[in-house]
Amino acid sequence: MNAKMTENNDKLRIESLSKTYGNVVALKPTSLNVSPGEFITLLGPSGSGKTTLLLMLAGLVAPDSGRIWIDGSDSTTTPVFKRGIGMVFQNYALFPHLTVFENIAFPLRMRRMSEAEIRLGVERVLSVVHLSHAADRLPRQLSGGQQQRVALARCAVYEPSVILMDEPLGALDKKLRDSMQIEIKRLHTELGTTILYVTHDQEEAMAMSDRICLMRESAIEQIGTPDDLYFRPRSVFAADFLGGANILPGRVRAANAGRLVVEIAGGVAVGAADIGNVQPGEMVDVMVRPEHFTLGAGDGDGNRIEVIVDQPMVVGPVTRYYCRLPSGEPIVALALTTGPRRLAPGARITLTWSSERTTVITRRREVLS
Amino acid sequence: MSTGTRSQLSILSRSWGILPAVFLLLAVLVLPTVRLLGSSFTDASGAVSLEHYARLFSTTLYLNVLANTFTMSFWTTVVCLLAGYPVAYFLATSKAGLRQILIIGVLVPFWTSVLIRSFAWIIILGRRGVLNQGLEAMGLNGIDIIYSFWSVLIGLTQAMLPMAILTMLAVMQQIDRNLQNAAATLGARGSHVFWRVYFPLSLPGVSAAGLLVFVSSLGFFITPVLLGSPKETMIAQLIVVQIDEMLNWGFAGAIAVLLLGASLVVFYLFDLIVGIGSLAGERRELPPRAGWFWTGVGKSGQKLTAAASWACAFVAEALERIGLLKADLAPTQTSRGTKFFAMAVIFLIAAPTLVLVPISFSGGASFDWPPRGFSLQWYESLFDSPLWKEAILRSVWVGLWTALLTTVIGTPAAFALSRQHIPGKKLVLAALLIPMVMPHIIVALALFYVFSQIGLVGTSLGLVLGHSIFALPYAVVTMMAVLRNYDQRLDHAAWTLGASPIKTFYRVTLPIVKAGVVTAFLFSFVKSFDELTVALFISGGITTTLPKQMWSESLLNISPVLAAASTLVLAGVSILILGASLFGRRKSATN
Amino acid sequence: MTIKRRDALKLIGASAGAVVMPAIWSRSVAAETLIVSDPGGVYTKAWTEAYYRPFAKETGIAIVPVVRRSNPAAEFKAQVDAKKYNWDISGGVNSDVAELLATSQLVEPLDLSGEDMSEIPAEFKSEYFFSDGIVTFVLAYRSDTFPKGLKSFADIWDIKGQLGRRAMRRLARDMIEIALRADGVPGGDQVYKVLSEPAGWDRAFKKLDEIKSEVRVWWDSSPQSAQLLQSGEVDICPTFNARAQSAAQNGAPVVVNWNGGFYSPAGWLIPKGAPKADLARRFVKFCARADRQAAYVDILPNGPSNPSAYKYIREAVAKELPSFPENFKQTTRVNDEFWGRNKAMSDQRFNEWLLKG
Repeated sequence: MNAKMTENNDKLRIESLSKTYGNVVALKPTSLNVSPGEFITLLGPSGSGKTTLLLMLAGLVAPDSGRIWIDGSDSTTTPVFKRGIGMVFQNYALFPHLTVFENIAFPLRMRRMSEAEIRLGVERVLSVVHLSHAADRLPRQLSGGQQQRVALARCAVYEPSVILMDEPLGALDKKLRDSMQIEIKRLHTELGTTILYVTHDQEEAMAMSDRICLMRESAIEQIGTPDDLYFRPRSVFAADFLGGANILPGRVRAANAGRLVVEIAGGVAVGAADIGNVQPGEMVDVMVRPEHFTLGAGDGDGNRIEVIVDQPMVVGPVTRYYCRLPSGEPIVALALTTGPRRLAPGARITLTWSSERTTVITRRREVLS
Repeated sequence: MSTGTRSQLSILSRSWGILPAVFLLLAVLVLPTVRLLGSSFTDASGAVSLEHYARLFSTTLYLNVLANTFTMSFWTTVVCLLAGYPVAYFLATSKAGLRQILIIGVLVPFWTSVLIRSFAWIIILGRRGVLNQGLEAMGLNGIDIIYSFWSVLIGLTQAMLPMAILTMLAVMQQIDRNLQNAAATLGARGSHVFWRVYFPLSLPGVSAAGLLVFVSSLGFFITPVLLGSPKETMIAQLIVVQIDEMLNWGFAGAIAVLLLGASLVVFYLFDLIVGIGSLAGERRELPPRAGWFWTGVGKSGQKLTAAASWACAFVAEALERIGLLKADLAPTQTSRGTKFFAMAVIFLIAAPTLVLVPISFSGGASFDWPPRGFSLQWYESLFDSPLWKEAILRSVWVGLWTALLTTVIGTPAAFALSRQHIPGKKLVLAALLIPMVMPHIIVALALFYVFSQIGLVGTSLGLVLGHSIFALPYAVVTMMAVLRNYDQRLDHAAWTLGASPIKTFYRVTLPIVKAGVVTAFLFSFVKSFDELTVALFISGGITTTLPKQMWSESLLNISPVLAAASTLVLAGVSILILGASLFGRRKSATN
Repeated sequence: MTIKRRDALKLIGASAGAVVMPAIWSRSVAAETLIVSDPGGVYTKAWTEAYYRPFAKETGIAIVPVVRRSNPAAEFKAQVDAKKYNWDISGGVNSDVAELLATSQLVEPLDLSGEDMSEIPAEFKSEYFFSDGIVTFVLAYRSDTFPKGLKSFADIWDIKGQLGRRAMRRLARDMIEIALRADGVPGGDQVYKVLSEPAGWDRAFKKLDEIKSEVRVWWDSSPQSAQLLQSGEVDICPTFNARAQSAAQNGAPVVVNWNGGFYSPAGWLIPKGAPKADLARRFVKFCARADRQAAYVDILPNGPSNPSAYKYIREAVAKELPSFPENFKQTTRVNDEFWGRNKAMSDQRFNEWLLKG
């Protein structure tokens, strides 16, 4: 195992980490590498194992099996306080008996810094999070957003090279979330910190991450850049979890020259890019994002379906059209809201899209290597 | 928090809930106490006179005994906090199932009379007692601590530990365990996590427990007499003598006033420094009377606590570094040493009662150790005696009525108090909590005065009223703890769905806070079931409760029948609690 | 063994009534009942056999026994003051308490007529108080520690000669009585003569000073004294004869020495204004019968006040009793009137003395 230490320069490396509570599997054996400075998000519904993974990384939960390397050294059994990992907790976990200043000073005091260094360090991060005026207040005298910023400051003040964040924005309202996302992103770029971020909000994950690790049922479903997951989901689950997705079941009719032809309901043939490893005659799912449709006969390269509009809905800059195929399957299409006039329910329209924007998802579950 | 609809309601309709509780307090606590006070200012002919007080201060006896009482209570408090803290910590951090079983262990002393427990201690600590026989069997020298300061301290500590533990536990269970995790990720080793985060957060519980133990200990009169020497005489004993042997109730009142005055001083200081609300788990918002002096005291108190926490943290860290303490525990894990200590304390709490079990099967006729032979004769005589049967039934009966009354009165009070905007809320809360810190003997005496004039002495009603006063604060505090976590928006939702306030209460609120109501009910029941002092004074004739029956029986003869009665109650209650918790668990599993 | 369900229901029903209306909870439906308060335990057992059942059989009046406080003075006062009576009569009350209650005018006069009553010596009956049992405070010790025996209270003070742990009663009266006897004052009136002057009190306390540091336990409740002797916690413990004898009966090597002992009569009192006072007076006369007292002391070794009772008592039991002539002549009576007057003062002084150094 020691040989591996020199082989790579991963910031974090997890190998076959697993955890069970009683008969409940919290995390199936899972492996993951994180590069220095990377912002990686663990995304998934509740109960998918993302928090368990995070807690094991922090050292707050002991794994049943597997190993954890931090900066190339085996840290599986290192006590929490020696790991030097920063963590931001879901409900902030600010010490209610300490002032904002003392909360932020806490990690520095634990590191036996001099009083002058502590003062300097705390004041610096306080000004970064715009809370210099609140140094002497107690946490309960702060608003939710302010508490969140204190939690971030407390974590950032000792400049840990890895920060774990467990749904840190979960309790904030939309507006605050947006500004805090920017704040965290800034912290990430300014400090060059590696961040492992847990969330169940796909937009947050898309917006902030270098890579997203999508989790489902105590295991990693798919891991990749936001683009990978958005445009090349490898499962219906992944397709559905990130953004809206129209899933149309079909059968592969032909596969040649990097192109697939899939026959969907109503005998409509749909062209798509080949994803390899698909045989003619195989049952697959075809995924099209609602925003990739063009309303009316566009140019495209030929993919088109006839649908009946059930309900148009203006959601600000875009209008969402709830439609169905003649055979009954629901389809959602998205178009820019161009004016007050729109299609009435019952209208028959044609949707067209390019085959490059058509993703074929196999039904064979691949085992992740 | 506040909504428009609520602020439109008049103050009365918001605060009616506290009225029954306030009325009960006035009628059963305040008026009798004032009468007691008054009687101490009259002479035998009924004329206003200071003769009792002149006598009280004509000798150093009463002040000396008061000083004794304070010293004894002080040390009892110190030991209770030191021994009880790790137990409460262990309970707070262990799994619910284990915690329930251990709490049964902690509660064991409640099921036997304090007098019988004192005799059990005599059996354990005596010259030829369990402890010394054991030591001699191991080839060691026996120890001689019975009838001294130490044996009284042991007896009082054992009597007070359950309350200290449960009070601290209530606060500790509210501490967010993530704080310990957070501290650890920020680089704090185990010693620092505990001493600089957990410990300061648990301090309100510690101070509340300290006050309760201290003030309750002030009123003790059985344990010091049986386990101590005359040097451990406590003031309540002198009160009892004046009532029983001298029929000098006025002078008894004067001594009681002395004790009451001393208790109130302690109470006042506590309120200034810590805040009375902490007894109910309330967090102190601002210093109540921000005079420079007390603000200063408060501030320096905080500084002192912080400094002490630091010092402890570094000592503990040093111990960790030289390997005496384990350093690599998860931050919320309890060390093996703590577990062992906690189990040992729980064992000691239960031990005197458990000693009674073998004695109850003794073939001999006295509390001998080891018991001679085996027989069921004591159980037989227990069941043959209508007195015991009646006493048990009476105790259950009075307990149920007390629990019912306090729950019915305490629940609306807790509702009213846990919502904002009631004028004088702090004052009402403080008043409701006063019975917690009133030595029972004073209330018993005050009630005896008043009840004897209206013929309530020797009636179940008198007992229920007397017990309710002591049970009420526990019921209110329990309910308030539950209601603090209750989301009032649920009520609002029900209203918008067309439910009237009363229907909302029965269909939405009550089912959700049911657990709290049940706990409050049980607490009150236990309080009444175990109560001796009031029963001693105001039960009489046919209305004998079980503690009173045990008491009068043991004044006549220390026979194993007492051990049999204790064992029976212990077994019954344990089965009941276990059954209830099993039932509760099964129910929650099916949900 | 088990409580019958119907009984339990009846009890619960009756209790409910008692909670709702604060009146006496009556268990019996007999035409007439008398509620008698006794100290409970073995007293209830002895008197049920000796008095309660035979009385009910003879008169048709049912007796309902209830337990009272060990010292019922406060209960008398509370009931008389409020004119609400939880019981009609109380037995086993010590003569000092009777004295206090009589001077406080809290008791009814008795009916001392009749043949049985006339047999009772005058010192055991008065206008308000009738004693049916005598208890004596005696020297008791363990014979395993003192095989040669102790002769008098003075031996307690023989610290060098008689090695062993001592226990004393935490009560001024008994300790002063003992101290003066140990200091050479003969019992009885001589004690009160000495105490009529302040110097006498000083003498008693000076004598107590000598023994103070040697006293291992100052007991307060009398069963504790039995327990102390029984378990061997102490070797010398002056206590009530019945206490020491019960320890001996339980197999402990405990011996009673009557020499210098002092006795108090215990007996019956009726609270003033009790509605069933007439019935209670009838019951008191019943308790004066020789055969009834004999039945009583057969279970509880107090001394019968009716000398004729000894005709019915077995020899082995008789010689253990305080009023048995052989024992009785060695003992003297405590002067309740004297101690009543001096109780407050002596208690305070004694307590101060105990707390000192």
